[in-house]
Amino acid sequence: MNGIDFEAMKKVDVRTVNRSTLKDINDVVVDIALPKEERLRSFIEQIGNPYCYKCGDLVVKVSFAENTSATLEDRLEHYLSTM
Amino acid sequence: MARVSRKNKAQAILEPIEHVYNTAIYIRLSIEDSGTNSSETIETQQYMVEQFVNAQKDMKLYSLYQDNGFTGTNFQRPAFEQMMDDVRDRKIDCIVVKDLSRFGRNYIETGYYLEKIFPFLNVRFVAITDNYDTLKNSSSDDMVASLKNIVNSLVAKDISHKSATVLHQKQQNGEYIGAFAPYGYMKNPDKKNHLMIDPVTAPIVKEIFKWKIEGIGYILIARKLNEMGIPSPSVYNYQNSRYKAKKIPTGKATMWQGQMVKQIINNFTYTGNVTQGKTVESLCNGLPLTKKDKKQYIVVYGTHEAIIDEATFRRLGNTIDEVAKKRKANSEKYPFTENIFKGKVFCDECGQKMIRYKNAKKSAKTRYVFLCNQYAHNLQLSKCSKKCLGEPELINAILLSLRAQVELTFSLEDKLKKLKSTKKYIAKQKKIKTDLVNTEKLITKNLLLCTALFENYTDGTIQLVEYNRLKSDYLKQAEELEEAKNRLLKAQVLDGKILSPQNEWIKAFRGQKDTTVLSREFIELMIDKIIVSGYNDVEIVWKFADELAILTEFVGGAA
Repeated sequence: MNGIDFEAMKKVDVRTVNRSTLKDINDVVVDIALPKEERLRSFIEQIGNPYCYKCGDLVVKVSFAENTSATLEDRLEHYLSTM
Repeated sequence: MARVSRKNKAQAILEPIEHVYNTAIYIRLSIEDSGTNSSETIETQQYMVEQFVNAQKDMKLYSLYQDNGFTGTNFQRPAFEQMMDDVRDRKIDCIVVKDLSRFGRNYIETGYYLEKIFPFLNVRFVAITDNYDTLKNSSSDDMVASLKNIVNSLVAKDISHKSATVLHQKQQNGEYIGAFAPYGYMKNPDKKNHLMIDPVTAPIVKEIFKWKIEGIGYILIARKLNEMGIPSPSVYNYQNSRYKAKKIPTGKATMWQGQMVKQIINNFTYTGNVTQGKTVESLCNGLPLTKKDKKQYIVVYGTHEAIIDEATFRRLGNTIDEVAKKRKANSEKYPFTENIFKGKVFCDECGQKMIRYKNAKKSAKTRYVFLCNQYAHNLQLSKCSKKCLGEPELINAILLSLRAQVELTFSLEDKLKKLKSTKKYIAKQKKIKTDLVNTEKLITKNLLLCTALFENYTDGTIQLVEYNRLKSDYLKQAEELEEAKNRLLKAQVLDGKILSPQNEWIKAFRGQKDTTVLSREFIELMIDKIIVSGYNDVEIVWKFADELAILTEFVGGAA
């Protein structure tokens, strides 16, 4: 996974990106039996750019909060415990 | 009788002086940039609080939060909400205000913040002129603060009561009390509660009514007006300096919208009769903003010159009502679902919130889509491109993205196990269990008492009247206990289910394409905003940190 520029991937503009180069998240399979590192490696290989991909007909870009250290796990835990 | 234990009385825990508080300054003014009196301007308020904070050794200014033009009678204020978000994110642990009334004028909610939320989040709160500091306070100070909160609240209610009486009287007299005259009219410079024709805009109102009578829709009329280059009501008011605060109209207000046209068509005031009291809100009576029925409007006839004659207005109204009725009947055939993305979906080009539209075509399946309001109203004129984001597609994209992230970073099963073993969860389960046991005991006791009562009656200890009265009491009690038991049993089942793989929400993560599980609360917690930049292009901005980058760096480095 060395040599992959994640910063450049994050900066991809959803409006100008070449749609044909994007992979579809529907085709991605994550094997949760694998160790964490392997899971990640395989995910990146399949999705190409984890910040910009296709989801059916949609082109999806994902961005994250800059000024918080809260993780998805934290948020999910909070949600589940208040349900 | 047992004496109340004094052992566990709360004692103020003094923080060590070495702790430096990340301090937030909060300032608020009800009416934007009001206060000609120098002690009341927002600048003096800010200066005073800043001076105070700078002089404190144990405070470090984190940020200033300012609500200019927001009432203290509720807490729906943008800067206040931002501040509370930062409190929850532990960025600040001290709030300083000039006085308690700046924080809030609703004593119930203010008290809730001061006595429950802030102590719980460990936040220090200082009101300078009230000499209130949660760090240094004794219990008598707390009492004074509570009283001040009540007084602050009463001041607001008193003003509400006084002004409401006067304003209501004015409405009854046919005096126009709105802040701005309806489009097409202007306020008489000599008699400000009297409307007179605005020679510039009145012909436009006439034209709008003419178009509507010809059967043109609200949105098309708005588009027409924009194409003709006619300034929107807000822009017109601004150009003619009718706004006291020199606020330049932004967003939707800069162009004609269908809603604005609709308001004109439905405003009976254009027939020369002042029509007011369409909505009512009363702080002193605890009444939130409520829409009144058309029949309850306060109408005073013949108060000013008409722009449209009454007969035509009523005829037009009837046709519109009929069309609306038909449309409503048609639309009710399709189910309405809550907009869980309310306030979250934005158009990339105009930056405004996109509207959620029910696409109920006879041929196709009903579905909700998000449209750019600007484009819908003005097409090319709006400078926005056509966008149409389907809600099911959006939900699917969100679930898939979340699922991938969960699968990559942690195990849901472990999470559930962990949550189930938390003290809070165990305590809750335990409480339900003991409550159940206790209720069972009470039920048995009740039954025994009932039997004993009957024996008392048969052996003549009590009379029939007494027996009947007591019996009905016991029966009622038995019923209540039975209900309580059922409630507890239900809670027990529900609680067990929430944190199990049977939880619907977790099932959705497991790949079952059930899209009804996302809730408004969930979206609010997880998503900052969703930006739609093209017909099918969408950016999801999460409310949590990017773990992918951190993890991949780690993995990349290890490889």
